[in-house]
Amino acid sequence: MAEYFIYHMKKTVVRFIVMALMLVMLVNTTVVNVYNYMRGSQVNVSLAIFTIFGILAPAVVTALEFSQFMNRRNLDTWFSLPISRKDLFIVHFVNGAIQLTASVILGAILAVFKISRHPELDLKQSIPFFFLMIGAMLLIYMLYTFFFVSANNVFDGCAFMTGSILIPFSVFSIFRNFYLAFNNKSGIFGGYDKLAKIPFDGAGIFSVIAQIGSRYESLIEPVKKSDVFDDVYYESFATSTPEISIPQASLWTAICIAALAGAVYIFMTKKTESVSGISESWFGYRILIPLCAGAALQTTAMTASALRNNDVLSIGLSVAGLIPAFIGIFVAYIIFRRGVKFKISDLISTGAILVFYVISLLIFRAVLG
Amino acid sequence: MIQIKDLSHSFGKNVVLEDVNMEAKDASILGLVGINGAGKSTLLRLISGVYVPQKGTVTYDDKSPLEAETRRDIFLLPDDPYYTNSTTCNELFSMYKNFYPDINRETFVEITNHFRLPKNKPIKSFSKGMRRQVFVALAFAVSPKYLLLDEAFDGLDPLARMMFKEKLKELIKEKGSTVIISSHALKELEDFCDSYVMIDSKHIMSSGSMLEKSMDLCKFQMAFTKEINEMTFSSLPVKSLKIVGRFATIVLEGDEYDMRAKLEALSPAVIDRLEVNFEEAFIGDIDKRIRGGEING
Repeated sequence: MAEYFIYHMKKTVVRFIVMALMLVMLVNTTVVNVYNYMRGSQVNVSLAIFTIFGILAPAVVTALEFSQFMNRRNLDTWFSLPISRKDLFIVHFVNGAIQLTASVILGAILAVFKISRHPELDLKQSIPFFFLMIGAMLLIYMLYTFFFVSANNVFDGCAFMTGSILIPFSVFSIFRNFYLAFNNKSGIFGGYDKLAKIPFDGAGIFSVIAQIGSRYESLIEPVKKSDVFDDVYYESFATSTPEISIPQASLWTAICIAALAGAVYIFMTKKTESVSGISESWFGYRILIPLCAGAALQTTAMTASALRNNDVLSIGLSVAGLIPAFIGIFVAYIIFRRGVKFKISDLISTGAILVFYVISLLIFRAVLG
Repeated sequence: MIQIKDLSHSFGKNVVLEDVNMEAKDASILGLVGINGAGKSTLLRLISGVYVPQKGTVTYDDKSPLEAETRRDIFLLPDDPYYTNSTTCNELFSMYKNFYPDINRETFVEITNHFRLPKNKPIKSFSKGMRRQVFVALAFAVSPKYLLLDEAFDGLDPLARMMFKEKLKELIKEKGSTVIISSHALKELEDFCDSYVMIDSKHIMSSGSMLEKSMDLCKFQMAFTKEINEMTFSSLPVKSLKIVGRFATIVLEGDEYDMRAKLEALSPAVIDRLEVNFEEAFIGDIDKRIRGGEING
């Protein structure tokens, strides 16, 4: 395995250089910006590029590392070679993780260098940011890997990775809609203050990386910066810095580690003959389509029900919402099945969405109407 | 020895192989024959560990090919092997060296030089035959104990085929390797395979020695003074029959002298014995099955 690991690292070094160079170039242009005004200058620090990189780069790396195992032709060679599937997975996953981490480290070195050139900036507070960012990025990488290897072809793999965003969002959306309806009689136009107390949101793991980004972005604002217009000195933003939700971070760390274990299991046990075919995974279209459609329709039902004293508009919106939703479901199942040969389970699933919509509509009309 | 016991495999509801039992002896070449879609490639994938058998077992001296350690002795050359857009001969060799540390560079260079294959050009730019030559060179450079070849002759020119056969014989002589080769080019198989397995309709239709299979058959060419048709030969064990006017070419199953006597009873003006080859035996068997199916159907 060690020989193949070194070989694979060498083979993919160009990809790493391109990725790292792109990040370094973006860090160079976006992290520290000095704005000169007539009465002085203002230094702005933005570490947002690391958050964006931490969300997007793992998706690209996952697709590149594992796409060669999404082609049945390739597997005749790969799975007949004297290397276990587990070792193959480890080589490709670890290589991707190293490339992502090394890219962020290179970007971080440049960012630290640029920040250190401005003594008014609180450099030491940026250090934990980079460690946390690498951690969050690797968790996202684990999650993407799980969704990607759950698919049987590259296209579905990319769709499933998108699902890693849409699934928690849809689950949270369904929960949020019911929560708001039952906890606030004024309907969807209020009650978010109660919801905000719940430590979980629809952005899932992406919320964790966003929290890290926003927290440290503020912390390294100039502690003694001169406001060019009012001559006010800011001492620190620490008090107003958003907190990282520890329960949320812990939950998603556990989910992502479980996802990695799941990815190894799927990779080891996947039927070679199913590769390049339709992706039947329960973590893909089977869940994704009804969940997203259900969440979208439920929101329509809630919005329509909240329009009190206007039944014509309310009923019209309730019915009209069905048309684009079912066109979307139809298109999604065509993509899933690579044609119009739908299975009975697809029709049952579509029926269940409709039933869920009607039940949601009745509940919302009773509660909000 | 490769031993296959009660092997069954299906793709969804489509049963491809059912209760396949066979073995490939050490230091021998086994030809895997069958029409398109018969399940030859599936069988090779099961034998090489690419597919996990749904029922039955494949063992190499009692070891499973699903273990990576066992696959150190196995080399599968699939119909369409893996390479990337930028893979060159040298890169391919380097990649395989990671998995087969004892791979012989001299053999690889010798064969690729023999075929005048450019070492640093992407394989993707090669013709189908040239690509096949690269992978054949790789197979001989690995020189495995078990060599599994899927449609090995596909795209190879006659000179390359000849060299390929010689190298296979060398491999068996020097290393005692076991070779399983699937091919549509049945004429190519008959002069160097020791035994054969014929797959048809999910099952092994027949198997045994290549020579014996050919010897079971006899072929005659005849000219008649009277009108003839298929019914003329209906009482004979016909494997294949071609009638042009009053001339007939017939392949029969059974002892040559008995068959000749039966044909002479039909009073041909002229009768000549012809050489029968393995392909005719194969076609005869398949044809018989299809005709049987038509009759039963």
